[in-house]
Amino acid sequence: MRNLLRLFHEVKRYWRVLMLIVFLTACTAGLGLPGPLIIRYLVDHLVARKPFNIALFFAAYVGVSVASSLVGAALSLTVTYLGQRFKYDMRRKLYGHMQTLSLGFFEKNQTGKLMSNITNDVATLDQLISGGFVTLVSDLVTLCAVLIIVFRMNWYLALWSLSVFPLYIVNYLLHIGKIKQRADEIREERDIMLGDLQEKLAGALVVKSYAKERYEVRQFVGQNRNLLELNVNQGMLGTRLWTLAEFIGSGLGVAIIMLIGGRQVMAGHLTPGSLIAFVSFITGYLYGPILRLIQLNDQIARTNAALTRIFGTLDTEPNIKDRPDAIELPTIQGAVRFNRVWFEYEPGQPVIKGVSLDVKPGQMVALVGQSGSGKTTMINLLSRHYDVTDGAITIDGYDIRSVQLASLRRQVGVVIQETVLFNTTIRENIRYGRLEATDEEVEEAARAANVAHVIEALPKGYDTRIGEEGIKLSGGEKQRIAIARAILSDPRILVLDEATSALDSETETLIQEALDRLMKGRTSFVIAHRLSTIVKADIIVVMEKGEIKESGSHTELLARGGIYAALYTQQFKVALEEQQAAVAP
Amino acid sequence: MSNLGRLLGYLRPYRGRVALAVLLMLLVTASALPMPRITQYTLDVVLPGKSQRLLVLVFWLIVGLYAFRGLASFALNYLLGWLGQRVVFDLRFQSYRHLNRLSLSYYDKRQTGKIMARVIDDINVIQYMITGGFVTLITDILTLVVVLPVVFHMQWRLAWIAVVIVPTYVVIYKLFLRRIRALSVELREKWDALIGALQEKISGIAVVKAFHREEYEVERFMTTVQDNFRLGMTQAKLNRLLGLIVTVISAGGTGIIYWYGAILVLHRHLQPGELIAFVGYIGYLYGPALRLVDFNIQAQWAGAAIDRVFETLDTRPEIMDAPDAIAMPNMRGAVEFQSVTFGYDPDKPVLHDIDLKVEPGEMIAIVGPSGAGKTTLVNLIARFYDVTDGAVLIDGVDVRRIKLESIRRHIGYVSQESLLFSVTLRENIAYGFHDATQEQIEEAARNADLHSFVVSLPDGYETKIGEDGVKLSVGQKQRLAIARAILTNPRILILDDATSALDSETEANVQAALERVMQGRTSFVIAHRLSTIMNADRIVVVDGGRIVDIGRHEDLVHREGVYKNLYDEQFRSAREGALAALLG
Repeated sequence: MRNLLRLFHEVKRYWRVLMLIVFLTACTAGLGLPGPLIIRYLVDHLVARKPFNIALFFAAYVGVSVASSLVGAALSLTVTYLGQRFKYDMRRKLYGHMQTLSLGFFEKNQTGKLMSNITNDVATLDQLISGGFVTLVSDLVTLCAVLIIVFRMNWYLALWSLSVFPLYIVNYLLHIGKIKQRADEIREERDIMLGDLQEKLAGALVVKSYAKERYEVRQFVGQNRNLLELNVNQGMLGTRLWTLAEFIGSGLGVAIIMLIGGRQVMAGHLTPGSLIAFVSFITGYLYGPILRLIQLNDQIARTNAALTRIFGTLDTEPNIKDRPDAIELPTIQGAVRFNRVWFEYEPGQPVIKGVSLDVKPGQMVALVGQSGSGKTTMINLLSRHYDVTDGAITIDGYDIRSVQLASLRRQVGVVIQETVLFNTTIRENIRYGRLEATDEEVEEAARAANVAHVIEALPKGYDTRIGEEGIKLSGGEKQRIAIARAILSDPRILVLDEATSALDSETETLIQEALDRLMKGRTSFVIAHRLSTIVKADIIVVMEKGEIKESGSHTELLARGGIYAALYTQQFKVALEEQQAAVAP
Repeated sequence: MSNLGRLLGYLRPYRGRVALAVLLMLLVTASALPMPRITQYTLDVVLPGKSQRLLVLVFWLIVGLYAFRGLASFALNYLLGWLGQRVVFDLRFQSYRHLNRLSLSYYDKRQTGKIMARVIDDINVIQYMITGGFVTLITDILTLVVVLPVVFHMQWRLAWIAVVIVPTYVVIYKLFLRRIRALSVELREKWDALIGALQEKISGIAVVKAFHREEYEVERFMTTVQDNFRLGMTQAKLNRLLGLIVTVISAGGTGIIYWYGAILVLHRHLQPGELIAFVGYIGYLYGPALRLVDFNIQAQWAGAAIDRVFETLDTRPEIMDAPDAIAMPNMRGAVEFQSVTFGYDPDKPVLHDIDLKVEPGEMIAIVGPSGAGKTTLVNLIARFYDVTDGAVLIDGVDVRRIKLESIRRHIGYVSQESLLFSVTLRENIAYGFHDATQEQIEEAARNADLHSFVVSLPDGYETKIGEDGVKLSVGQKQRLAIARAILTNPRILILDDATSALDSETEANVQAALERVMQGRTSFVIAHRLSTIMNADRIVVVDGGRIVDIGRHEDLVHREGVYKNLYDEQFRSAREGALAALLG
């Protein structure tokens, strides 16, 4: 219910449109009512063979129909406008808000779920607003008007026609519980089936490697047989509900009116025309709205889940925000200082424990350590995807929490492990680093990233589309395009989370050259797997369980004979042995 | 259209039920006809005659009619629901079985999402057309066929008016149809674009944030939403305008019938009840006429879906058992490549003239730059693809003459990407050998250096992985994939860069375990880190799709060539560092 109130709050700002809708609804309901009365006039005159102004009747009949459909069209357009407008605003709000949220939010929520938040959940709300809400208003108006009319026409007959109502409602209530339950079961079973299908199709290689095709088909058939039974059962329940409803309303209800009304006509208490009008009032305007009102309850319940999800997203506070007094970070030299930095994702479980590190402008820092030692966290703290729990990180003496996020990130460039490129041309992908860059600058960056010759060899060059409908690039090519993008953005501080394990040595050399060029003259932080990077670094930081265990240059660390020296010798045992063998004799 | 015929063929096994459904359709249609007549009878006969008895008869007539109609339509809908679901089931089963028969090259070329769309969405569209559109079409045609004679019989002069109006209807509708259809195609495209952009930018959020493009992305997204908004409104306007015109025509038409009918009644050519009943029947005419046009749209839509589904079913699997394929219950593990040439596209071979003879129990390492053809080479052993020329032999038999199941049962294959399923760890390990005992599973896990990690989890081997279970690191996934392969006790083990994501320490552990496992088995190991393959019996150096050198590490490293270059490059920095350290 609280969700619903909040939804009304969101809708309130369209009050002008809403007023118009209410007004138009009242008009449609009003224009729908004369129809049966006009027919009554006709029938009564015809039965009595009393001449009447047929042209006037024609004008009234056609006029009312046309007027009511005109108003109906206006109403439906207004409602569509409201719905579309609502979806537009809501999507803007949601997507805009998501963009302010930090990486942690996206790591916790799957892409698919966030997408359906913006697409499906918003659409569900729209259904309630432009579907449920409008019918509610128009049904209420119609119901009141029709009840007044039929009771004034003949209260006795009106009471009789309402007599089948309890049956109607009981029938609905008896079925709806089971139908809903079945729908839940179907959804569950279907989700399982879809999940399995997706996994097994994507994993066709494994299925085939183990010759499990027949087994998988059997599994799939089993799931589908369950679904088949559930679906057939669901269909049966639905059919039974609506068939019975039709029988009760159109059959029993009308029969009763004909019987009781017929007696009244014979007794002279009712004209034949009134009887016809009565039937069309009751079947057209009374049973329908009441059923829809009962169903509305259901619709609200369904919407509630969507509402909870949407407001859940909107209520997630961005944990990284500009302070009100944040200043713009001026062009920096690139001196970075970690000052007794503590950090925890979950309270009580620190992953960075009192790390201090002093980096001079232009220095290159290599972070080394087992996975889980806190290397990536350090980097994420530097580009302020998270805020430190204690201590501070300063750049050129500015605490990074005291400067505007935009001005910070503009000067801190990140090349991440998984290369993400977008579904557009190569040129646009590189230009993403700096949107106002000229074509020359883009090509310049590609050259610096050692990827220009690959691009220029393509038939369409820089205008080649990549991704789904475009060409497929190799891992190394993608990585170099990402480097070109970073080169173009020309950051003062560079962060590289390098992962070149899957690349062959030749490609690695090309990438290394590009990276060397990129790092020149910038402060850089590198999570290194490659020895060549480490050897060159000004400072090698060896991390273990969130602490810095050793730091210094390659030679210093090797001489010290600690963790780094052990790691180093282990990885290159063979090469070192041979080296020694070569040097020894 | 022949595809439509083929689709109807899926109903053949259920022809008894189909015939019953058609009969029920007739009954349901017929049951709608008497109601206007009953109203007419009441108005013209019962009420003027003031007969209580006849009034009660009318009451029971209506109740009886609707009871009958209810029963018939319940049976019909149940039957239709069953038929629709059954056809969906059959189609899905066939599609999926067929997809499993198709070889890997089919999957290489298509995205999983698109294949899914065929199995799920396209078949749903078809079901919708069978139980929705198709049935409505038949019912409507039946109604038209029955009602037309009735109205002409009642009053042919009035009937002409009604019949003249229907074509006007259809013409107007046709005029709008093209624009409505074009719009809905455009709307669909815009929506796809919206979803695509959203998907890309949410999964690539790290890049968006790294370059601080949040506001830019919101603006870009909103322009696509704006497009949708605009198109949606245009479509609504068009639909409303059409609705308006249709209402005006039908109101005018009905008005004229009332007008002319009233004159007839006043001149005693017609009973008042007859006029009311007549207008009731006219309503039955307009609906079907409109829906016939509607069905056209739906049929085109479903037609595309039907074509796609049958296209999948008609794709011939490239790899199939030969009719005379032999089963091979035991395998020694001798593998031979006899001047093998292969290309994914036959005109562009990626392997040229490969000759290689491997003795049972040998460990073969395959090295070379990426794109050299290493993975392709091992894929031919398990017959994921067929050679373009030459032959691959296992134990002296051409793999194309051995049953696929025999080959794959004896080959343990660990691919570059570790593909795991969202079930428990146990089920993942036991995927290749469902009847494995707990001891066997643990043994395999130990050999892959995974056991200690698994028992450290609260649920141990029953831990679920994947979306709603624990997340495994890339290294853990690789070790799991290795355990899965070991468990099947294969004669031939293929490791395609299977330890790349492990850190050096773990890799050393896994390596040691693997060496034990590989004892007595033929094994093929692809690795980029040369340190992992130095113990191989033979190292096969591949470059440009050809074997350029074969030998042991000690031999190869002293020969000028690809291997020495790879080796030097990989260890250069180590040497430099070592040298630096040695020198001072």
